Amino acid sequence: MPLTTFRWIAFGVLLALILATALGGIAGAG
Amino acid sequence: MAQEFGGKFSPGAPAPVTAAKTDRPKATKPKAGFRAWLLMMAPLPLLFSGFGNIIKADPAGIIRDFAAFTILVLAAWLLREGLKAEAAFHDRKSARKPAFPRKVFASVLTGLSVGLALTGGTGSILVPITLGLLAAGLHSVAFGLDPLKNKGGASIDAFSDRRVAMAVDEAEGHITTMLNTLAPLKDRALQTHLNAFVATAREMFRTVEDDPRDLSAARKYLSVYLMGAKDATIKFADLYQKNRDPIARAAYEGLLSDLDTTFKSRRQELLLDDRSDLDVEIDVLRDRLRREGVQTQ
Repeated sequence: MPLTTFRWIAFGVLLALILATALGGIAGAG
Repeated sequence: MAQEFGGKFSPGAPAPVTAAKTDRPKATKPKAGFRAWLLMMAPLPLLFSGFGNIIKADPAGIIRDFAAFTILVLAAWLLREGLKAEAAFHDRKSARKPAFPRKVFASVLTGLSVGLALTGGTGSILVPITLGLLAAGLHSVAFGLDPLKNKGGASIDAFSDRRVAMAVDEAEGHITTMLNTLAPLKDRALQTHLNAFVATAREMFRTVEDDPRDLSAARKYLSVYLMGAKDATIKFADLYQKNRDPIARAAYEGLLSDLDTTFKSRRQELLLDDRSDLDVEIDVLRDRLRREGVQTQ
């Protein structure tokens, strides 16, 4: 797998993780 | 800046000059700028949950969410700066590694804040720790580390680099003053002439930046001559604005041409110096090989 694809996947997972963390905060607070 | 219109066929149009080609190359735009922006937007929900916690009167939650949000945005900003610095690093022929590894810090801060934001849950403490580490790891994989090594030739010592940077900054200051002084005259031909000289001068700056050893040979040009040119420009602009004296104008144009020629030939000499340095190194190496019994033709 080329490095760029690997990096994009890592970025996607990271973004999802941050979003989930942040949205989870809303769900907790709501 | 406003400039009188003039095209190739306008009266008094000068011969086209290849100016500005040698301006300092613009730093290439960091490729991952959009991703850094996304990372800055992603934690926005934390802001809302922070406000939600205010309504719920949960001080720990308020602090946790706002802190996590702030650190995530800070990390995204650091990442963007790191990407910019990295692009500038790759643009230059020789560069020092960044004093402050911004991307590494961005990774660490991202991991920390994800962990922090998750501490509110009821589960075990292992969850925020694991996910925080995961976030930091993903961040480093996605964006890489900062350049950790200097690159470029022998001239990498900070002292001479700084000396060169200072000399070039000072010279750039003179040039800016000259350009700003001449601009209000709205004389396109003069402006073009000056731009051509400015391009030549900048070529010399780049030569010195590439090889700081040239600084001592070029110093007089960077300071004394440019300062003289600046003073002459100020005086000329002052005079020309009052009486549009064609003799003064011719003299000033003559000065610009002379400076241009002088700077060009000086730069050639600097480059020749580099060649003779190379020749010496090759000769030394050849000698040595011969002494050690290796055959060269």
